[in-house]
Amino acid sequence: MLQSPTSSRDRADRWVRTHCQMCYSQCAIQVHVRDGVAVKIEGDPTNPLTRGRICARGQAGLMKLYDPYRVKAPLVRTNPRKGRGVDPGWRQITWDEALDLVGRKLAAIRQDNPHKLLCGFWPYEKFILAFAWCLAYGTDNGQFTFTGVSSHCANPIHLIGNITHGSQADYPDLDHCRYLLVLGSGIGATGFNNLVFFAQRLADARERGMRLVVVDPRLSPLAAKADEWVPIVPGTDLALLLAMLHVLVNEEGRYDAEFLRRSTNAPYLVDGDGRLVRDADTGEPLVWDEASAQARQHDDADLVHPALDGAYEVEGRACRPAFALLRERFAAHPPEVAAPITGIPAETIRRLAREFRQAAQIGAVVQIDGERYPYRPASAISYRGMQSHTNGTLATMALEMLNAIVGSLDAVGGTLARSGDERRYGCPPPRLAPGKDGLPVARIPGFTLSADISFPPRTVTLKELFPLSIDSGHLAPPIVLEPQRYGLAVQPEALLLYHTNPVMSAGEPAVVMRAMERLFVVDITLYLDETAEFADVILPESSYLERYNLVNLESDAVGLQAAQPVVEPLHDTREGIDILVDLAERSGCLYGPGGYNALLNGLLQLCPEHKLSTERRYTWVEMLDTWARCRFGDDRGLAWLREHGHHMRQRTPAERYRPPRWGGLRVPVYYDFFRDVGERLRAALDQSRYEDVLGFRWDTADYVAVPSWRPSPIHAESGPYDLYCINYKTATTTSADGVVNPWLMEVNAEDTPYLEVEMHPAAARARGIREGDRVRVESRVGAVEGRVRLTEGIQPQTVGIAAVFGRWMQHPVAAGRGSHHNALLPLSIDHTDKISGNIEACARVRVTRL
Amino acid sequence: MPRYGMVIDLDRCIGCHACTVACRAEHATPPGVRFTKVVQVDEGLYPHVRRSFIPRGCMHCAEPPCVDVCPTGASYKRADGVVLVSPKRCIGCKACVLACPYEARFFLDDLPTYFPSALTLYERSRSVSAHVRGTVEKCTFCIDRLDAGLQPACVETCPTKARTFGDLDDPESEVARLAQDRRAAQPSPEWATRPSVFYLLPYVRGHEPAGDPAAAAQAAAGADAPAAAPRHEVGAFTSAQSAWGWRVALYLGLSSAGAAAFLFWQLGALARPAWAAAARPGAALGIALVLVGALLILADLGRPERFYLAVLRPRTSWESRGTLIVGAFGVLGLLHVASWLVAGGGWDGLLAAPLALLALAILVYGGLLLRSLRAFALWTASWQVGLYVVSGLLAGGGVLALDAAGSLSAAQARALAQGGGLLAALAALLLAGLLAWAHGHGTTSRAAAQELLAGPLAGHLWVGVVGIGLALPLLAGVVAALGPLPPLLGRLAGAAALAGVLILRFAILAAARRPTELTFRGLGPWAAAAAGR
Repeated sequence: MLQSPTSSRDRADRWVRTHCQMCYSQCAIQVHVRDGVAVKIEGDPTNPLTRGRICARGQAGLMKLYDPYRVKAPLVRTNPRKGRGVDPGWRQITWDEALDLVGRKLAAIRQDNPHKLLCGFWPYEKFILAFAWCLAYGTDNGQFTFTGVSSHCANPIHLIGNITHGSQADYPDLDHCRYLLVLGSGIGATGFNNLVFFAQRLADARERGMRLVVVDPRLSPLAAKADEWVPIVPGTDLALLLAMLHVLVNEEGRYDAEFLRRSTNAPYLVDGDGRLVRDADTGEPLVWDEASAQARQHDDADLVHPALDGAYEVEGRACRPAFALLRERFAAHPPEVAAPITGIPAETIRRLAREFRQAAQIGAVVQIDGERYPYRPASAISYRGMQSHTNGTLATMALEMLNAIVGSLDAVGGTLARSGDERRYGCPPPRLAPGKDGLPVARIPGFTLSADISFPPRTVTLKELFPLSIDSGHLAPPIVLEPQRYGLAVQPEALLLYHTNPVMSAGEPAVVMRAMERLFVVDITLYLDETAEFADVILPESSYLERYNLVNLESDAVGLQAAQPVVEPLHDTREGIDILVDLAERSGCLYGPGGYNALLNGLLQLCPEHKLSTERRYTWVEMLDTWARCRFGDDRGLAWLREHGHHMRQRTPAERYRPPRWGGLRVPVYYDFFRDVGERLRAALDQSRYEDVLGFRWDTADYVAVPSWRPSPIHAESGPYDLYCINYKTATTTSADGVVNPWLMEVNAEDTPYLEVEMHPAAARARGIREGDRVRVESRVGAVEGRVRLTEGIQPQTVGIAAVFGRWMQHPVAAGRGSHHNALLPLSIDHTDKISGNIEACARVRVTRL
Repeated sequence: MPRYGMVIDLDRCIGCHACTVACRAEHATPPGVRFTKVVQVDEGLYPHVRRSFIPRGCMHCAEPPCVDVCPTGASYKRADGVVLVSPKRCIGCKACVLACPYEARFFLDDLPTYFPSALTLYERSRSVSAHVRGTVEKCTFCIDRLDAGLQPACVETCPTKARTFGDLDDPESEVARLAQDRRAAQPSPEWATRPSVFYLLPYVRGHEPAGDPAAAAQAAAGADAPAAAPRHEVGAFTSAQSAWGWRVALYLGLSSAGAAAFLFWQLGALARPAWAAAARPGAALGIALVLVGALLILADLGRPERFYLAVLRPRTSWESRGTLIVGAFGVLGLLHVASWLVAGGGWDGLLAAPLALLALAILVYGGLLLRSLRAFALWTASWQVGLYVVSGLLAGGGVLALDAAGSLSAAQARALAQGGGLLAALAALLLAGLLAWAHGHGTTSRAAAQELLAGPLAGHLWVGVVGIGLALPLLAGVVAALGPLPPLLGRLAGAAALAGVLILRFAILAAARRPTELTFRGLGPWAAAAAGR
């Protein structure tokens, strides 16, 4: 009898279709506008992924739009002295004045040395547009300086996912999964991506009987829904995964041998040093064919039965399959070794490994739409909780190995590639292309496995030390303070920030603020937040409900979702890309072959008949219209998308699953190319003698073909810092700007423990702390205060601080509420994942009663 | 006619609070007012901790206690089962807030803004007409949406589809089907309000290894079940009320004291004409106290200008009855005092009898009013009603003993003191009985008793009520029984009795607790039904 609205036309007044930007996920929404006022946000029921649902954050978007504390016009600083709590003396100026002022500065820097401009861009609904601007300007310090993937995301999965899935991230096939092992992620309950998409499917899967096991130091909402919560010492997931791998390949000897033989590099022969044995003529890796009892090239059409075990001799060299080497390495990590490290009993680890393997139903196949696919309804996934540690990349390698060992990589019910970062494409991305050694190579702009490695570094993030990473943006602030000390030739001069707040989101806020004192800072922002306090010029951005966009950040969709203004901008604010275009024009990088337009043509893959002219200036709306027409045809430009909201469909099974022998490409379970990169890095360091400048030896030992247990520096810290402090995201607050939202903060304060420091009663008792006490949480580099909430739902050596609270910006909703976890994190190379460049997001702390 | 209801699947709820914020956005409720919210409840010891997310809101009971206690008819139940409040008829007396065992009602004392500085455009567009200061609000099941053929906002947005809404009487409906599910349970059925909101209890998920039936059976049998955690300390999951504070306490104390004073005067006057003249100032003071009390309760209403609506529901509402009683007493009492001034007591016979009956009613109704607010176990005890009456009498005696006009003879004062001593002794017994009863009658009343005996209200109880309100009258009674009563002691005892009873009224209001957790089939929130998949 009762129905949900099926189209926006069912309703009185005006409903406008657009997409949410209250977190990273960009879900489809519709906004009720009455007499020019946006009065309600609901999910868009026509979207095949969200099915008309929207989360708390999405509902609360109206309070972002109508926040009276938004910046309402361009501002310029009149007080030259910068500091926390020092009034910048903002003076309102016109847009022309502001753009001329900034444009002149940027033009001068670009003429002098473009690398002196640092960019910290985090407009997650349009990274690629921002990325293109940095390329056009020509700075090496573009996009993710000061703030970036390294502090917001899980960098390791972007690297490993690109290699194993051809996707920046993976997710479980909840429509078919029967066993989901989650390590450090709130998928479908809090953080991760696409909460609304996953929450529905996770609930359905659990009702269907899918077993959910959540490994997390804290009883997260997801762990609360799990069949089993497995508490773990922070940062030790790698040890758990290695032990599970050992149980499967050595103790049980049960794995998907067929998948490993055909679809991975497990059978590649390696010599005594673990190096690939190659064909003398072609240089291609060899495998041992048990059928013909001889070595054959990995892609030899006559190859019948690749060996996974045994010892062989090829052209006089003793060798064995890589898989045999894996087994030997994993044997060093039995559950008895992992148990004291992780705090998980050995028998639990054995049981989890066995359950996972049993649930995977190795060997099963299923027919969908007439096509047969491997059916492996077991999936292991992770996110920041596991990956934001210095051993995060190794742990992520081990995690994907676990998926590969049971054959669930991109199998039905297994661990799937996200439909890709289609901000650029609006169509299925090219996924994986054939690369070296029969393995795929990822095609992600700005990301390449074969980056040149040379020193001294040119970037203020020392990205040269992390040749496989997307970024190491959080390292910039301390390096800006003493660039010579790191051998940088460039003295950074200006910082252009766009929708980001590095004072709160990086670490060591005092260092970030000091660094910004040294720079000419331009901030494209909605709020006068802690970072804006250090800006020289504020360029106010319109809120997402006043802007256009096209995006696809979905996990399982092809096409584009549109955003459009639901009301006219309330204040004298502008679209960020229009601001960037104006700045590109004024600094001389908009036009011509290397200009912004030309780069967008390439990065957006615009077709020949719908290209941006490199000789004229486009508005954002014109760019989007061109993009849409290129993707969907001339009759489906932006106007069509504004009416329909999106041009999007779910992937077909053929797009979603990996067919057997997918293009002949194998995925790696043996990362010999990692070792190659490590060796090239070492050679470059040795040759340049850069470590003499650095003053310490850069540890390249993480570049291994097979992961082994590597503790994080947090595990070595001791003395007074006897607890771990972890950070978690919530369904009400993920990014920093949710903290200024009165609707969300009321829920955080009244209905959740999210503004408090969660602590186990035993740990509290030992420190004389009682429920509700004010405490000081202190790490080696910083201290925060908070109120204690005791809970049995946390690993006793661990305290938890949520999201990005503890704000001091001039905003009555945000200021002085909750605690600021990131202030405890050192911005140091030691506390950075040596491969992915990700920050170590856990701190060793002591907690004392105030 | 449909009978609307909702089923909330606790297995699906992930505690994301989308419903809470959707409700806020739909109704533009002021800060602090959340018609629905999600409560997180933990049980067990690390690492065997069970955490549940329990969405809460109005249960739209088939037998809503909030409707019964409403004195104006502002709270009502529609034919389709939806329980609503009319903002035009609500006088803001807050009795419904107290009657609801589910804490689902909100009194709009103030209408704060989302941002402290100014109203947003959204608020100007949405809230100004929607929310009336001084009235009570609650979940409406989104009737405006229902009328438009839509689902309630919380249902439509729920990312996990944990909420199902529809017609419970339509056997074809999903909601009716789920309400009959093996996992379905009514929340806190002990209130016997027949909620229209049902909960599906979580599936039992053991620690059994997947695909191992033997281990699964073992887990199901409880062999692997975690040890039950010690239940939380008393009072941890109960809440006090803040709807009725010192104004209501003063009203209850002054009205019963004043009524009792008048009653004593009338009873005495029937026996001894001398008493009629001597105690007349005390009786007049009694009438004045009732009137002062009435002004205080008027001031406590959210919408005092509509106070007259409070007489409309005497059939179910003790507040309506009280309004009629106190109103009549006040009018007749003023006439009576006027007659004293004009006729010097010549017309006493005319109004005294009805006034005495009304005074008796005032003495009794307050205790019964509290008892009708069933959510608070402490108030439901017969001991409470008895204590209310006796303490009222004690205070009434105290009003007379004040001897404000100095008109009492020594013998009269002595007799008053002796009677007061007896009443104080009786009140002490009833108070002890109430506390003993409370201690033995469940978590909430035990929490209330502890609050009084050793908690934040211990000072009120031991110093105010016992040390002053009971001990001094007792002392005066004993002294009076043994010999002449020093006049100062008699007056002091009278003042102490009155003050003690005012403090007692406040303490009884402030100590009462109601449970904050739901129970399911009386098993506690965690005893999930062992329904198979």
